[in-house]
Amino acid sequence: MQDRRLKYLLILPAAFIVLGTTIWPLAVSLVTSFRDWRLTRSLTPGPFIGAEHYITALTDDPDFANALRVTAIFVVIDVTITVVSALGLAVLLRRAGVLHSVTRAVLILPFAVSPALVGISFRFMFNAEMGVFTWMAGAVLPFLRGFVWLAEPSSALLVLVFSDAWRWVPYMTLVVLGGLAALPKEPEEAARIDGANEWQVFRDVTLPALLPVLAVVGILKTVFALKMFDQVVTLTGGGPGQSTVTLAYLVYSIAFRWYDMGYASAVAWILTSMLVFLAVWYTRLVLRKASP
Amino acid sequence: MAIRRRDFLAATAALGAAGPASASVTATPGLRAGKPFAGTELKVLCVVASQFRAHEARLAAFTEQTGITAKYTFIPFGSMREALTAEMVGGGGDYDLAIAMDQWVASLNNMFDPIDNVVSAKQIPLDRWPEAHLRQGRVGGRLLGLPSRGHVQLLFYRRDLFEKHSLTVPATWEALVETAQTIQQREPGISGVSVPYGRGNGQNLMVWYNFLWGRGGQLFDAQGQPAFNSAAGLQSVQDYVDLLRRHRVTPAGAVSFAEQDAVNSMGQGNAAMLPVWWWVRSTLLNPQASRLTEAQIGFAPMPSYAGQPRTTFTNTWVWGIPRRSRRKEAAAELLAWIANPALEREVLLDPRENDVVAVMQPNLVDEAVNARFGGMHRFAGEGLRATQSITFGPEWPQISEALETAMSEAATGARSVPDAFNGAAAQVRRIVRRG
Repeated sequence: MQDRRLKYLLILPAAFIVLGTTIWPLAVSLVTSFRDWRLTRSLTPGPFIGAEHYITALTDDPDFANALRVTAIFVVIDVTITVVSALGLAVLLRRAGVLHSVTRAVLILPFAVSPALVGISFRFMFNAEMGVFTWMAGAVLPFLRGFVWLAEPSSALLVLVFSDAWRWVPYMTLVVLGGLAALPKEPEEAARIDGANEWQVFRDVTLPALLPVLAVVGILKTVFALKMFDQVVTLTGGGPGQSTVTLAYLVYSIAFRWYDMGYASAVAWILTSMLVFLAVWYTRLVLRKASP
Repeated sequence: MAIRRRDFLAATAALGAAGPASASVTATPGLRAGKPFAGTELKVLCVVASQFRAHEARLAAFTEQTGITAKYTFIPFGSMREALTAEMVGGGGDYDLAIAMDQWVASLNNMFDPIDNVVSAKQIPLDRWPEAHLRQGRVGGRLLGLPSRGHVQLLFYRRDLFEKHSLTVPATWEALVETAQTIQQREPGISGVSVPYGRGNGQNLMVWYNFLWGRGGQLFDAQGQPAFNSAAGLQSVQDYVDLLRRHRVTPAGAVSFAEQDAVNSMGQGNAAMLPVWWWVRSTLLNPQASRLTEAQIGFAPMPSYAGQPRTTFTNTWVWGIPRRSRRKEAAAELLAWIANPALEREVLLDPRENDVVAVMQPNLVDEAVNARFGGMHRFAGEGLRATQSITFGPEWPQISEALETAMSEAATGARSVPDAFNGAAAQVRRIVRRG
């Protein structure tokens, strides 16, 4: 009995911290999402208006529809590029050796760079007049000489994806490398003895065994891609037009530029529900993988 | 490092004009006698600007007169609106004086106390400020803030190139296109004029407003409904976009430029003209940010259309007293000290400072100030007299975003000018209707 009480007593501080910093703000924002609260009118939340904000967002807001579309496209391209690149790099770095070890250690560096700084750096690198990437792309592919990367909706979105992938691919490579290291060697060796070439070994043995790890990587990256915000602010500003306005950026605009806290909370909760759905899926995958 | 004789004499003259460091600010009119708030410490929320650093450096004089001390918290421009919002929502009364940009004032109206009574009690004459700046501190007939930092637009140009090719500085937009084309023909690799078309804080609209006014257009009609998509309005957008798409006198990258990119383009020697805020002078003269020297840079009032007044869009920062401040009377003392034209003049003439910004009428026409900055303030005063302005309502940030998106779409060619701006008008009507 005493042990049970002690158990609850010990988790109390952590519970209070989680309650105060996560549960309480989430609960307040959920309640706010059902109220009319524009800071331009009042410093305190206005009356309850039911699900009006949610209905407006889902049926009558072209900005929300655009942000949803942009976010979906961004997530699909970003996650695909990140997972495929991470897998390719991990396979290349799988072998033992000094060079591979050093490369693996260096891989964590891009992840240490702040995403806002990544955005600012990429903005300079893709500057039409003095950007190093603009120059390199033009030198390698002459038809890209003078191309203004941030001026076209599709290329601006690609640059955004590129900046995010640059930061995430190395980290995800380390995760996949961990998965590769955990795979038993016997099935691959058996396949080689049976006459399979390296591509066949990879396609028919390694890849299927690695799929649960790749699924985890994919879901994790999807969660982070859905929250894409920093680089939008510092790299594209949401433009050209509205072609790179993501859901997270839209929430920021509604809340801190337009001061509509009620509507911003509703849009944030729509985004949060997507993240919660993915988080539950991720947890199930991890638990299934962990169970004997 | 050698000091040129001319520089030494100019510095000596400026110091002489400015007088001893605290001479002017020891005589601030309107301060309460007897130092009734001695011992009070004020907290000030301020945007990063060399002008305000200079104020902070002179606070000893304020303390000497009032016994009040003040602690400035400097926030970079990019985070300033969030800092004000946090202060407004947080409700802690953390600051006693805060500065806000004109476009935010109406939407932050719940944050500030009206200061009409403070101004009349301290007998601060409001005609000290040009109306173009002063009206940005008013919301619904109440004065919420006093201007302290204000910008006008000027046309910066490469004086060396203009002299080399015997070009005259354009006074009209048509002449600007011709001049830009001439420069591009004679100086390969240099664009005629650098302007921003990319999204970011409405910066791609700020030069266009002058096109709009010059064409006789307005942003809104008398009922507050969008008027920017009138025939004159659409033509003004077309003229502005034509610089990029038809005449091709801007850098190719201008389509995605923010204001800073446009400035960098000129600073790196890639553009011959730059219509922009006057404070950019210090950036163009900063050897860490620019390759240009003072001798290479000229400036003139913004061009207009033939026969039309030469206008300027303005950007004004106003000091207000937060509603939740617990030291409002002491804050009013500091406000009176900052609103003293002598303080502004002293900073302008301090040879250690290089900030051109002035908002007070006496300093815009001051001989010593104009001598130091080559007559820039006289141009500013003229522009301020002739200009129109925009009434920034609480919904302005959202409206501005709709407009800057339309401008970006028109510039990229994703939508035609009428399509983009009629679409923006429909969106603005929805915003206004929702209120």
